[in-house]
Amino acid sequence: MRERFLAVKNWLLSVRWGGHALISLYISLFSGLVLGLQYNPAEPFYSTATIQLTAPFGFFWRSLHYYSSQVFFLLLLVHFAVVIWENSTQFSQTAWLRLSAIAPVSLLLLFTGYILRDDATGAAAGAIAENIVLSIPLLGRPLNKLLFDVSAAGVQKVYLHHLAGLMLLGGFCLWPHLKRYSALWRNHVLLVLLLLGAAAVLSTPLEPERFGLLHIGGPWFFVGLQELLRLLPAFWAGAAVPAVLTSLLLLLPAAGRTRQVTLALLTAGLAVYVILSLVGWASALYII
Amino acid sequence: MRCPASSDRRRILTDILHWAAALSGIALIHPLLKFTGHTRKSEPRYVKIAAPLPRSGVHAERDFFLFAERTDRSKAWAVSRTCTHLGCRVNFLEDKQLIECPCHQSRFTPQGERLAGPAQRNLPVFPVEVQKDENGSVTGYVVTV
Repeated sequence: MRERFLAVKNWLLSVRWGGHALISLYISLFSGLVLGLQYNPAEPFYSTATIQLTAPFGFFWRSLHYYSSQVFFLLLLVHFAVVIWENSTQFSQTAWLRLSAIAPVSLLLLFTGYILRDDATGAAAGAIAENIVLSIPLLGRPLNKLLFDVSAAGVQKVYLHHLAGLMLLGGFCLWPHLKRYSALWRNHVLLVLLLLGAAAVLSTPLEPERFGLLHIGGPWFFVGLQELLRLLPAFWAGAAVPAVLTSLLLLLPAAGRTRQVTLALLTAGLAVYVILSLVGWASALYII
Repeated sequence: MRCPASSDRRRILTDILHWAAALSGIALIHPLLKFTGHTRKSEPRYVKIAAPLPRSGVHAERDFFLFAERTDRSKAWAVSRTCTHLGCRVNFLEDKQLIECPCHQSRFTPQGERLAGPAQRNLPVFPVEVQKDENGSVTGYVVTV
């Protein structure tokens, strides 16, 4: 049993998770750039639908952007888990804060991508994000004007942040790491082929608004939050709880007992979030 | 070798420079928030819907539902489709005669009154002008959004 555990541990530590994540990010950036040539934030759903349905290879580029972004985020999470578990690199508190901020920034990049397609799920996600930010005392209104403002400006600001604001912030977080570690394409051929294959055959979700829609399920990483929003006021469920979980990650001490306690709290928080997500998926099946 | 007085002066100047940069950054937050917080007031929008309405007495637009009484089509009202919980677009369930939000299942009457769910407020109601011909028959509705 112990040997098997050690074998799994050795395998987990030997895989280049960070390199895989970086290559996925490069593919996501390139495919996003290609999509941007046809996407129009003034008519977000129409342009998404035309990319998907009528533009030559639009299906492929949209799928490639979607799956490479999802894979990037998942690989990033695994990379984080392995780095935290291994704990061999002694980051200073400031360096860790800057580097680990890539997790919430990447999550926001994924989330803004959902809003930009402006289908039933995207429009609901945008409205919910706006109302969550507005529920923050004192800072809510200016923050919303800065970040989302979908009810007044459509997806214009979200588009700007998806393309530039969050990308710059993510670049700032990653820059010292990228100067130190690089990824070689030849080491990730299988991943690239899998992503290209997935983009060629798997479709990407696009749910038009329709009369009588009974249930809108958020993106997979948002289902737990959607469930929490049913139980708690918007500020607590949408702002306070995610802020606490993010702070636990960003302020994770490098060593000592406080590190163990912080990690235990973070793991417990994520476990509760997974349970909430499962409840959300189960209730969606019941409603439909 | 650098003399201690010169080193102290350099440190003080560097500190002043850092503080000046930090204060300039903070001072820029105000104009940034004022600029981004500016809202251009949109003109009221008039949406015209031609009569007759469907037999159900409900017409759905992107922003509102227009209801009219089955027995008297001149008695009409419009209810916002923006849920008062978190802003999702609500739907009308004709078989249950109620409005429901697809995100967290808040429920409202066709008049927009809250029935159940996490939403705490009623749905907003928009003014409706009923247009008639010289015989008194309803020809259309104008909703002010």
